[in-house]
Amino acid sequence: MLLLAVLEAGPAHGYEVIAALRGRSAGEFDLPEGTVYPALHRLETDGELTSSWSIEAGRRRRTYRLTAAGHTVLAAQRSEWGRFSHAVRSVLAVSA
Amino acid sequence: MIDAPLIDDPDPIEVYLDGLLARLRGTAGDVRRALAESESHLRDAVDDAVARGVLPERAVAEALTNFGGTREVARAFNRRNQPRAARVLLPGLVLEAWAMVVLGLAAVAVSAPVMWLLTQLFGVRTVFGGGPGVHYDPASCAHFLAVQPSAHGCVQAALFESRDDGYVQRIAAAILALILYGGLLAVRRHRRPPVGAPVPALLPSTVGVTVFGGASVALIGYGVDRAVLGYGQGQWLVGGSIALIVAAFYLLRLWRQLTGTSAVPG
Repeated sequence: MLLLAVLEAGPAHGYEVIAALRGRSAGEFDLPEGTVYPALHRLETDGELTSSWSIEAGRRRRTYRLTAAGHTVLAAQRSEWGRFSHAVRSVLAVSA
Repeated sequence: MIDAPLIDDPDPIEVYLDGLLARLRGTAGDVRRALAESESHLRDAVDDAVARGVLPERAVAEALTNFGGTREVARAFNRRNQPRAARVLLPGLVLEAWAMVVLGLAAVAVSAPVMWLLTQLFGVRTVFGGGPGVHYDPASCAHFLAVQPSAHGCVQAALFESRDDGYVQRIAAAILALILYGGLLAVRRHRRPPVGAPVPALLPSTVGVTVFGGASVALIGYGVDRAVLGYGQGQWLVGGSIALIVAAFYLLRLWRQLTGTSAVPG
């Protein structure tokens, strides 16, 4: 969901996706960067992303884009997460 | 004076990528893509850090640390790529095994004329023979004498029957080899272009050396044992020798692959 959310803003290559993930989470999601690429590949296999090679500043990069199916999945996951986090917040608020 | 690194200086990123390559599994395309994306990422990370004022050596070390160890990263890639590789490799493996069966059956078939020649030179007993003192029950004797009416006695009839069975089996192997070879050619002609990695080149050669070399040792060993007894060694020695020739063919191919153009990490 997080990778799809980052790519919702527009196409990006892996390094940009990871940098955005780290930046938006204020460093909370500090996972080994190399393990993000297999996740991107898996999302591509599932049809939620598409990708193509491009050359930027003389360097070959794989650029990822959200597909229509990816937008649908992201919307569903975002909705599900919203309900879940709302429920958790409600419980924590009562407990406090 | 140009302040360039010596060519022999190992680039830590290349050393890392070599280590990653050694651990990655999957199709050639998957491995190539993983390496290309990893290198692009690492170089971007170094460039960014250097632009922020980090010393190049430190930037490289940080980029590699943040990217993760080769074991961890390769495990993440392999979790996705290995099942795909197995699916892509399976048709190629089946065709390689099919070709090896054809070659094995052809080798069995080739032994027929060699055994016929040896039979002309050294006699049936040397090539196919049963030993002295072999006893056949009356029912078997009756069968042998019925199917070998030209034989003088039960033992000779059994010997001729053994010889004829040997030839029939080898002719059957020849027919089966031709049918399977025809099928193999047809499948190869009509098969869609293979997707992903071909079967690793060293695999069929290594299996061929092992299978035919092992068969050769077993057959020649049994033939020598029979030679000590003094009868029936011909068919085993011929089979073993032909298996040895096929094993030598695979060994030569393996040697050419090892010393030829195949890339090895290093």
